[in-house]
Amino acid sequence: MSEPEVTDITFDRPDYTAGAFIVFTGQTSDVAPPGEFWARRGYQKILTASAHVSPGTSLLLIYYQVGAGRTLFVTDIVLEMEGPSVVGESRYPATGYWYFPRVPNQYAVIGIYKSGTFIDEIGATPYINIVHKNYRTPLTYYSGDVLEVKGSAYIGTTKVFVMVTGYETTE
Amino acid sequence: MKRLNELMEQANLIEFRDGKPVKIVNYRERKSYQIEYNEAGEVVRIIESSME
Repeated sequence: MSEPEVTDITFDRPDYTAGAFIVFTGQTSDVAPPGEFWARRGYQKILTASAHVSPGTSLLLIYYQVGAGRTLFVTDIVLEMEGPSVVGESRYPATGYWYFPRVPNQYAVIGIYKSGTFIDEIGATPYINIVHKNYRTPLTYYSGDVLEVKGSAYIGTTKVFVMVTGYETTE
Repeated sequence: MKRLNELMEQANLIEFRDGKPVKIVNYRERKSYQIEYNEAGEVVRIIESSME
């Protein structure tokens, strides 16, 4: 198999950002991105959603169907639990009333789906309230595939912000 | 609905609420779009604005 023609890649000028180059230069996975990633023009795609998620429910946050002749490469997903960030603090106060915890008991989780099939999940707590998952081998959604992100929580209702970033190719 | 699909395809940033797009930004055309829904969840209006 011949090497891909990397020099042929062009991006729409205002759109290229670090995202693609993380994938280009930080490629440490044994599995290379599919050929389309290198061969076609691409532009940045960001999908965001913000919502309250609760236990026992699966809330649809993002629903995106890839258009005809396009391919979506998801390089990063960020989940932020909105509220206190309490890294390194104990749940209960060192002084004062122990039955009044200063850290809420919360665990938010999002599921990532490809055309109805669950493919990954990301969770966040007040202790790690921003979680960034970098897909060195991008999640690939071909024309007609549906990207869904659903939110839920193990404990307590919590507000989350989700950001899916990547590149979508045109012709 | 066709127009909304086109806008989503060409968009750089899409903001969702309950799985539905509410804001679409296209950096190349320097335009953003606000999508309004009625209570039945149907698109009633797409408001276009320029970033210039």
